[in-house]
Amino acid sequence: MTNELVLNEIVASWQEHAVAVPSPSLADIHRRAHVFQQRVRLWNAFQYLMGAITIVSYATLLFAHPSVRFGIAATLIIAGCLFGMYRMHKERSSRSVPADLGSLTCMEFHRTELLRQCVFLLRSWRYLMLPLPGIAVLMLTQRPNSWLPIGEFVVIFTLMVLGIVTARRRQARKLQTEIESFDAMAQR
Amino acid sequence: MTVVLQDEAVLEEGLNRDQLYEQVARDFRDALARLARGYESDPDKCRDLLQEIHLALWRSFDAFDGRCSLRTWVYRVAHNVAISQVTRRRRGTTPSLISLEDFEVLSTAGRLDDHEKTLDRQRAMERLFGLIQKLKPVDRQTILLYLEGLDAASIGDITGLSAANVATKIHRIKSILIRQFKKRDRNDE
Repeated sequence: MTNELVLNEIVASWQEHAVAVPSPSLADIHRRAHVFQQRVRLWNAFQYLMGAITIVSYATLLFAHPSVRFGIAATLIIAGCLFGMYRMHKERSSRSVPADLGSLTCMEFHRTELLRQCVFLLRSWRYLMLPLPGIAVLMLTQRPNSWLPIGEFVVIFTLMVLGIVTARRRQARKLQTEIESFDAMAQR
Repeated sequence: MTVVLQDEAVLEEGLNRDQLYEQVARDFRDALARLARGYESDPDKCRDLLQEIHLALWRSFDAFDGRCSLRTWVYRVAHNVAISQVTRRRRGTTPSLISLEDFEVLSTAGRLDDHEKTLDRQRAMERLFGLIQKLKPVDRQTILLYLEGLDAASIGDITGLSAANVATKIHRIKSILIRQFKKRDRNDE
């Protein structure tokens, strides 16, 4: 059998091969789309609920302990948490609606996804720092007898952030290598 | 058999999203199932992936404006969903994937066992799926599209590879397929 015949046979066999996996009906698609939308709404509601709980908790404490220092601390914590939640909400929303699924080629889409993940890995550790100013003000306003607990907190927090940053940078480097291989392939 | 829809007719007829989806789901049903199977060997994951692809297709038709052919659109959406889902699910746990170039070198070790005197079509297809799942994403997309009967230009439109790059990859794919399946021919004789 010639090579061409072998190839024709393989291609023909492939195209005749029926995989025993049922395709969803239109009703299934509608149901899944509905479930998907509900999940997104539920997630958004959860985010708003967390935001509301944070605001209410610190606002209550604010009224219970009316002082300028505590007011600044509580406001900073509320603002930090809300901004973090807003960013998380944005990240998730952008992933859940892939508008360019069909308009981008596979390489463009894959590269965009890798780049998005890479940027997120390199930036996301900053969100950990958001509540820090508020917590710092709160700790300092309590006029501690000893600086030891504050020192311990600073060391543990710094080590935690450094660990996370190092791990994420390592992951980002791997993604960057993949992105570069895409670029090299595109130039060929 | 590869199906090509009449895209202009689709747009002129002003098919709504449901109608367009039903037409595509009917015409590309088997091709999309093979594509999902090419990415996932586990039957449950394959079924989930296929459903994700169908859902993404249905949702994507709101944005379809006919700037590329409907077939190109369908395959882009399907491959983009598949590669996103598979890489997200397996990140960090997947065995390293290889390129067509590497496979050409390694394929001697992966040849059919001499004891397998008769290898029916079903087993040949299973072997082919196994080969596909070892490949890196772009190579996997190229071989899946080649097997569906698409020409080099169409594969380039879908994957984003240059014509020369697609031609090189197809040449390698052919060489690998011949080496893998001609052995079966000899065994059968």
